Amino acid sequence: MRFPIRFCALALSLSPVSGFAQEKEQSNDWSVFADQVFTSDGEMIQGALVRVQNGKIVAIVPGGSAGSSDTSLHAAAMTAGMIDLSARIDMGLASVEQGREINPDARVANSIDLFDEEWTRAARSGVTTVLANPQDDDVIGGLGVAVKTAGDNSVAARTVKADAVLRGAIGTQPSRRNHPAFGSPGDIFSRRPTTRMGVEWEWRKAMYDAAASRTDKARAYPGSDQVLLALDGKLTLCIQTWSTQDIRTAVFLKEEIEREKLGTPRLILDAAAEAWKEPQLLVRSKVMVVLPPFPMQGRTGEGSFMAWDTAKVLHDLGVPIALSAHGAGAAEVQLDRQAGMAMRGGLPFDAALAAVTIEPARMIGIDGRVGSIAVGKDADLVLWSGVPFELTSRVVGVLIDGRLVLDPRPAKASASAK
Amino acid sequence: MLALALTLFAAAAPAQSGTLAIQADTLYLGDGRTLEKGILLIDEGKFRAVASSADLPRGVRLIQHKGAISPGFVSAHDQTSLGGEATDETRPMLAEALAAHGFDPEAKELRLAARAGVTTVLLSPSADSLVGGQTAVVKTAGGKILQRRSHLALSLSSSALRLDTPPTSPMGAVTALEAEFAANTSVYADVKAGRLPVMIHAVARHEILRSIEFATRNKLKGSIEGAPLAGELAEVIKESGLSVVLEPFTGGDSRREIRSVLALSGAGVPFAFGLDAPSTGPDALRLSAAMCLREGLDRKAIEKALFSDAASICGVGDRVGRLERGFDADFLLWSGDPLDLSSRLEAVYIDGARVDTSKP
Repeated sequence: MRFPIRFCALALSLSPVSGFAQEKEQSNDWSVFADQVFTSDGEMIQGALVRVQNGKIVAIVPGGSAGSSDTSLHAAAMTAGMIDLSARIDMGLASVEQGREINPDARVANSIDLFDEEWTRAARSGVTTVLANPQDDDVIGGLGVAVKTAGDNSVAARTVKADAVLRGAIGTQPSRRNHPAFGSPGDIFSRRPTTRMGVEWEWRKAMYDAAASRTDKARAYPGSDQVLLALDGKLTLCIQTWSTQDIRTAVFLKEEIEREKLGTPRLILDAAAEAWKEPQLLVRSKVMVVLPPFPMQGRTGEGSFMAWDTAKVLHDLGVPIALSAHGAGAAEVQLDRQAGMAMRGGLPFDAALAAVTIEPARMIGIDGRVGSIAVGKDADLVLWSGVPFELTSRVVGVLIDGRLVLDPRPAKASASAK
Repeated sequence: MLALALTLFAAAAPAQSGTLAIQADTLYLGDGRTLEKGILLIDEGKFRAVASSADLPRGVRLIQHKGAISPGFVSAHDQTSLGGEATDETRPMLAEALAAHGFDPEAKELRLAARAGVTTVLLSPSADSLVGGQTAVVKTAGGKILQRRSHLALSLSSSALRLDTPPTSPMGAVTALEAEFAANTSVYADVKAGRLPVMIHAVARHEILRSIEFATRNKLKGSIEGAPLAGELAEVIKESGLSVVLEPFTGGDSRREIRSVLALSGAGVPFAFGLDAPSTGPDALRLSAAMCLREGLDRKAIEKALFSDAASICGVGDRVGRLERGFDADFLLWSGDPLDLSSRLEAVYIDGARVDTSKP
């Protein structure tokens, strides 16, 4: 489904009425030149032109010139659009179905508010694709969706991958606020788990019941089909686990499923701040990791401690890692800055670039469309004022599906007269 | 003198739906067209002729009305007469519930509506339930139920979400609705086959988009209701084939909402107003229309929104909402242009019978 370009303008405009006035068709075909083009395929091209047509990258021309027409853009550096698997564009409790603890059939796509300004903020910071997940107040929150951060006014049209992951949490968040059934037994907090043990039991029961439903339909429950897909490794599991004990629980659960021959889950640990403590466990179990934003003082979510060299330690051991910004609006903690901080902890530049582009794309299986600068891929491009992730560099231009979300060109006289 | 003749006639036949012929300076036909010096011939509660000249049956005197005549207003979303019983709170989904069974033909609010020229209302369960039930179309006088089942009323707004009963979230609501639609009960079968349109309550723009995507996925026909900023998504709505029912403007700064109406009209999306009476007084229809005119909305578009399109959205566009041969004789006698707020409503007819508007 395609809607006219003017809705893109509308979504980005604070004044919707003026959005309608700006119906001038904008070209989606661009010639984008940068002094350094970082493709995310392990290659940096000195001076290259990337041609964009109909929302796709159609050519990469080393040494080419963009010319100086209305459709040419220039910058010091270019990367693929960044991808944040834990962008956490805040939907609050709108993304928590509190009627049950186990909601594998809830699609967070149906709770998205595209008019939240965080989408625009993410897009203009160079994050072009995010994995939208339920907030982790349920044990299994639902199905996450990979979406572009700008585009048509339609969740469906912006979707890169529906049902990209089955999302849940292990730790204290799914059990907080709950209480045993005294006082007001009718409220929804009275039947939910109140401990880590209870949360783990909910996971185990959901998985064993789903596995049993293969032969015994009576064990099926709403969404057990999705859990079955996750057991079979066809739907990636994405579980929030901040601390060592929760990382262990998730890994042990995965290994138990494999040992009991119930399935071969594909597992992403999200917000695994303490993954650096027992990294061999992650290597052994072939787990992928999404790191939370680097905390300034060590302590981060659920009391966990994240070391500066967390990304480096995991990368050195070959654990696939992605970085995330948790919807941070402030410039100093946005995703490009996370890559810079991972480098400060020892992660090489190429690995840092991969951790915000191609690696997260591979983790959820959208690398055929996004994650690197390659002919045939979506024209999601970020233009930088200098070397990416340097403290002195900033994002000056963003294209999403070939549409200009942030214009790198100097403002025209008429536009700048405020 | 002419007004006196009218009064005499009314006094002679207060509630008879006998034969009647009236000529007015201007007939507003309800679909945006007008007829100067047009004649209405009414018999047995229907328009027998709407023309510039007519052969009157013997013994029927042509009454001259100095002023204008329009169809009765149609409120395309309303709770008039349902009292406090517009939501059955025991269940989030009650597709078989019929608003027609909540209709109290003796409710005082109906008289208030009729006295302001609202002759037809779409009774709807409230938006507090995910599936509130089915709407009905009724007349505001005479107790007539025009259509017992007009829409399945859905609500994808936050007002359908509660913390004590699932679903508590928009995604939970959609999951629950998809499951309901998959269970092929007769009501949902009617909806999926296009025999029963939906009326989906949505307020915020993301709720409107969610409703459109739900309707599109399930190939539903019908309307989005509530939606004050629907016009900012006019092209998307147009593509979905849905129409829009708006709340009236009751003053205050509603320019953004009014511009939204202009955008809907510009995109060719059919729209109407729903009073949601008794929470909004019946005069709000005229007031809203005048406010839209003031902002530059096309005159024909606003007339359609008040009359013919409103009736079509209610599912009774072939029976009310126009001064048209064969249609129900629901009409209003005005001292002047109905959309001029200084014009006085002098008489209200429903099904050819004059409504007694003298009682408080």
